[in-house]
Amino acid sequence: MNNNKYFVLSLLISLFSFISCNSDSDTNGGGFDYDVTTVLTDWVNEAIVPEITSAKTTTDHLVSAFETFETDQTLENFTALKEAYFNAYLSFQIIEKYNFDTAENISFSGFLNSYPVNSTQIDTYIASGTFSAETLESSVLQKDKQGFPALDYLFNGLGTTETENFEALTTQHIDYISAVINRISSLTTEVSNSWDEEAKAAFISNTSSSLSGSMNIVFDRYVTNFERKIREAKVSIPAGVRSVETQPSKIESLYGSELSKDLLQEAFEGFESFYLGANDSMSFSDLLQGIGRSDIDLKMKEYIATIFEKISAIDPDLKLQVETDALKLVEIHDAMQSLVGVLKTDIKSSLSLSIITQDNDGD
Amino acid sequence: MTEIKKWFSDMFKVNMFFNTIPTLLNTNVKAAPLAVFRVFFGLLMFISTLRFWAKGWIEEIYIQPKFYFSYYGFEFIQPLGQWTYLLFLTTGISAIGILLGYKYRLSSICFFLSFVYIELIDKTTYLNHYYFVSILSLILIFLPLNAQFSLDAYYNPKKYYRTSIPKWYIGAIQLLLGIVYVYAGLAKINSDWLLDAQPLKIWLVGKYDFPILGKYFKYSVTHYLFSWFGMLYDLCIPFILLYKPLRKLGYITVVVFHITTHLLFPIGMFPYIMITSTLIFFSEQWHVSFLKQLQRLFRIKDIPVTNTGAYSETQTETSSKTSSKSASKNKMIWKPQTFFTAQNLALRQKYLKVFFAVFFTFQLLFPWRYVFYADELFWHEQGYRFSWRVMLIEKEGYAVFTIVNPETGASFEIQNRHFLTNFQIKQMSTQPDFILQYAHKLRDHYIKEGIPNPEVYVKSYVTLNGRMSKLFIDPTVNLSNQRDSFAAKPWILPFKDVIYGL
Repeated sequence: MNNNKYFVLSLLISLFSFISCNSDSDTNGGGFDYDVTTVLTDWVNEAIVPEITSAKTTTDHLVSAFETFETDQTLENFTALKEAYFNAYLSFQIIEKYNFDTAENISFSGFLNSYPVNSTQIDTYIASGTFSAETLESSVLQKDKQGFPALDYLFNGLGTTETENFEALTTQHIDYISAVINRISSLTTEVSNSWDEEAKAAFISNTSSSLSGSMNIVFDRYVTNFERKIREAKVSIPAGVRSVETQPSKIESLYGSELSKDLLQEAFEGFESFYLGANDSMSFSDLLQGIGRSDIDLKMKEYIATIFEKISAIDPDLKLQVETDALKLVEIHDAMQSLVGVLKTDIKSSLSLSIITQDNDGD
Repeated sequence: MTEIKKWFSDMFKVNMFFNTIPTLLNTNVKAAPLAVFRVFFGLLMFISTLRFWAKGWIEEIYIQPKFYFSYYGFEFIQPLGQWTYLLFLTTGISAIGILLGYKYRLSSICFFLSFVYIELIDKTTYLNHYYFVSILSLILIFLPLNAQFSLDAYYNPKKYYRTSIPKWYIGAIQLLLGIVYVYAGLAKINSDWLLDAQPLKIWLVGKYDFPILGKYFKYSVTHYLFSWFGMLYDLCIPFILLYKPLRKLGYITVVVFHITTHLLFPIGMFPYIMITSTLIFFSEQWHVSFLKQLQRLFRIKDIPVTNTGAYSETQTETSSKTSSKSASKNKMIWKPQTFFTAQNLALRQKYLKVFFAVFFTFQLLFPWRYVFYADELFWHEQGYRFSWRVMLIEKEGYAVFTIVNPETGASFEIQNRHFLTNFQIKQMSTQPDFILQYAHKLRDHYIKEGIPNPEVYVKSYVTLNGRMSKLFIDPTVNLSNQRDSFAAKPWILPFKDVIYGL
């Protein structure tokens, strides 16, 4: 019995001495305080809530610009309305990635930004006169007849010049625009109101490392939004990456296509700013640096810079770009794929994050 | 000095252990350990089946997918659609059969077949512990686990009841458990695990919310402690459990270790399977009294049998009614009297020994097949499965497939979610054989879509144990005309790093 004890003891001692030697040389030996509460608090207070509030403000401006236009239908007010519309569209780009809780439940992104828009059906609705505002709410099948893409069609698609677009608007058109804007406004308000103190506290206190923890939910939607709403919808599909032919008619802001690149630029800036974090707030970038993986952080920043560079090299009109030289967009797609590679391998692995997959056992 | 001498003399005692193998094969012990093992195994398998069903995984994993990753050589095993539920029902019912020891032979065969069929449908779900259950249930078919404390023994004691059984029956189960542990331990002897504490470092840091211990998970020391302890535990635990003075302490370690892993990682029923299976290392006396307690707890009447020998079935003074009734029933099917003659039994024992010898030789050798593949096993995973490599790698991958029409030169990229489930995408992205199978699936799909000879290329990135992700598969190789085989896959790009160790 006795010699056994000695054996175990000496084994333990050698083990401990080995470990202590090893951890000394380890840069991460001190242990990074993986303070999830701080991260979540910063996300809510510095990113999610202020950005949603700002989207709400631009949407309010859109509503008031429309009211002005409705009472005084001048070309000048029309131009102002269009400007308000585009500002709201831009700020929507930033918050589309917060697709959880209320935003997810009410299909916020689906109702506000499904394109290509079904312009034929909109025309039918307007011509028939049987249209009522409730139609837009009736089912998710109605999502391609409303939101920003519907406004794009009604503001930019009825004629070829600003004046033509303005003059083409009938009372029925204006009723339809009113319904679309009201719906954008009510959905944005609903999302904005949902972030009350209680919801904030619930989000912050959900520090679980499980799939349903706030960290994983945010990461999942962040990656999914980048893949589906930014890369696929704005770049890959129009560029013909998913099909044999290019598909210029599938770009965002098809009718006001000269503005399409702005939307892409804005959405990707939103992606970047969330990665870096505002001011001193915590972010994925800080977390990576904290656990001693600055190499991944640098790679990420480098890839982001490459994408911006490639975006700056294309025409403001994505439709024109696809029609003349789709390869430039394919290049953006490729750069974005590399970025997804970093997100889904290096960042996911090193931060132990999950993309919501099926729940299953491992070993 | 004397300590060392003593230690060496102890070592020789271990050597003696091997000399006792012949006697081991001929010694008889009480059958109680087999009965206890059977009860727990049946119970846990039943719970596992229920759990799988309740979580909706039958639907998600075996019915919904459009494509299944079959095992090389087992492509004939096809998904059964809604019939899969029947398969799981079979598994569940036969698990109860095993638990109760009712028609044990039939139950164990049904369990083995249905369980293995399920596992072979899709290797996406491959887990070492499913493999363990598969091969364990195979050997259990041949062992008389219904010898006691079973409905078989109750209704037909003449045929089934035995007080004692050859000791090596128990040794076989212990050996299988020993192989699982020791091989898992050997696999941990590598530089990633021991010198970098990977992948536990990554996993533990992410478990910041673990109760009590969570706040220590950010420290390197914790990662190294867990890694080294895990390795030593796996390597030593079978021997500690075999050594009587340390057995109790060893078993407490088993319980603590497996419960901890259960709380930390999503490993399903595995910890409970190991916690209950390792009871087989306890003494006969322990098992006898445990059965007695079970009997008292469930108010089960003692079986009115006083059978003596292991294979004296020919002449037992079994109790009246039940045996004579079932004996006459059995006569109609086969002739147990002639079957159980001493000569026949000896022959059966011989066959059984040969079978087990082959089985264990295979188990001991198969995990080493990876030595035939160059480069890093953890990277290419050729020869990785069925080798008790548990929790060794943290791998994440991202694979983008491109289809090229060689006639027009036109190409387009695939969105994996149109073909695979999220779970399948996750597994496919890091394992070359999955990637190849999927490439072939895509090729076949686009032939149907009207592209005569579609070329399939993949651009895939993989990160392994915290290394920066890099290209995994040669993106210039047309996978549609690469064939799967046991040969090394030349289109897997080199690891360009070294992990030292076994």
